[in-house]
Amino acid sequence: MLSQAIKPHAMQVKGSAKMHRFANPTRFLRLVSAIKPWATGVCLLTFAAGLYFALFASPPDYQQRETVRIMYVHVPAAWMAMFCYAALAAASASALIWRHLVADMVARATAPIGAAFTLLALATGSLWGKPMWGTWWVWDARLTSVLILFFLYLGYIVLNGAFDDASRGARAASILAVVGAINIPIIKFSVDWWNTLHQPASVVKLDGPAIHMSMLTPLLLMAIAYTSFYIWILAIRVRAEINTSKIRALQIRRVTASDVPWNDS
Amino acid sequence: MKRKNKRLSFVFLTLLALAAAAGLILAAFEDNIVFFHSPTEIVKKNIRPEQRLRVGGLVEEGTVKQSGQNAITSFRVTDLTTSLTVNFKGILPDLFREGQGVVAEGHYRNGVFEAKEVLAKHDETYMPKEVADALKKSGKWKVEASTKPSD
Amino acid sequence: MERLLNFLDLDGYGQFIWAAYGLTAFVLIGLAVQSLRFQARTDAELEALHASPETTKVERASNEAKE
Repeated sequence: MLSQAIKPHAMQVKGSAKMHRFANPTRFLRLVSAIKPWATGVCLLTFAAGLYFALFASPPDYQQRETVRIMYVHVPAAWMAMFCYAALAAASASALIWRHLVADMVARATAPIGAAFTLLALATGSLWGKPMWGTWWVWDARLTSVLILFFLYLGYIVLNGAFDDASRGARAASILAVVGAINIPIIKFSVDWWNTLHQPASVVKLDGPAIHMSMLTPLLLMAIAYTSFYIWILAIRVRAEINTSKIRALQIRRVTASDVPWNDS
Repeated sequence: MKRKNKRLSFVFLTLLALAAAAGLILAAFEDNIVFFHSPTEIVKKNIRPEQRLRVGGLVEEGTVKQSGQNAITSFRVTDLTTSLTVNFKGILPDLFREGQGVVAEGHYRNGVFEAKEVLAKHDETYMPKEVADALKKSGKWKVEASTKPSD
Repeated sequence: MERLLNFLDLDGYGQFIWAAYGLTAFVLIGLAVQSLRFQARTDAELEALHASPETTKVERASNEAKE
């Protein structure tokens, strides 16, 4: 029990000697704080430029008219929802396989960001669907698989906090994240495999984007803004997660040293 | 084998097995996953009049008719092979127009589709109006936007 | 003034478009604020633990070695 609880620190000592350089939290944090100001800068700049193009300097669509502007917040959110899940699943897999503490922290820090992007993809899609399709929601393969993605994020977050023994919760959550990765290709190809109300991909497709340059510009600017937003928030949350695990390890050591488990000062 | 290599191959094999299982399940439930059927499928299949289902395709050019008194809209949905008459009483979505994708939900009775709900479906192309007009003028317009009658 | 109203109306779709942008701003800014607070709280907590007299000299030394 005790050895499990303080594993993070045991890991750290072993990690610096044997494992990959950035498996060491302190080194990883140094890398993270070096990247953070750049991510923040890129995020603010591309958001400003992206919003300018999205709302002022881009034409209405020939069919969907002004509602095409919802695309500039909807599509990047949907891309990031999937990208964050891929990151969550990859980090969880390496946490399970190599027992990297840092990988687990990256996964924990990613989950709420991915959940937020998924929520936005669903909500802005709904706000776009009502005026264009004529409905807020349908149970087609694309919409349903993205809703499942949202529940996978929530499941991961809940499992991580559900066990008294934190390492067991982390393990269960990581397994869920890895298993749920099956959903990512299903989301991506749902519009090609089955009849759906949602249209197929416009940008990431074999014969090149089906979007005019004047609309691709704001879309890609917003995509860069969302990506750098993820990196910026990830940097903040990874640090907070590493802090949390250090605090827990310190408190456990203090309790066992003084041998008064009810002393929670 | 080292423990972590064992874990690596375990995770990898589990994922492979899960992917195979997911593929089989999705293939088995294909009929429930598709959101709509094409007019060809609906005409071919033996559909009971009480069965609620969806038909999807393009609104055939020149077939949309509004009857003034009972506010029923009638149009033909085509998949470029077969077309089907749809009757609908209600408000159509803004994107509903001839040559545009459409999904109707309702009952297929006596060769006519009685829709309870009509949704518009659009394709993945986005462009300004001027570009679309220029493409139409130069004859480089894609086929979906100008469906020819198929019957 | 009329131009502004026209812009806000966005061809009649203003309510949907502004709701999508507003919700995006609300969720992303909310997440950023919550994350910054989470970091500030844990930074302070860790600091307090390190500084507290209950933390033994041995612990402090080992923690400093890791920083």
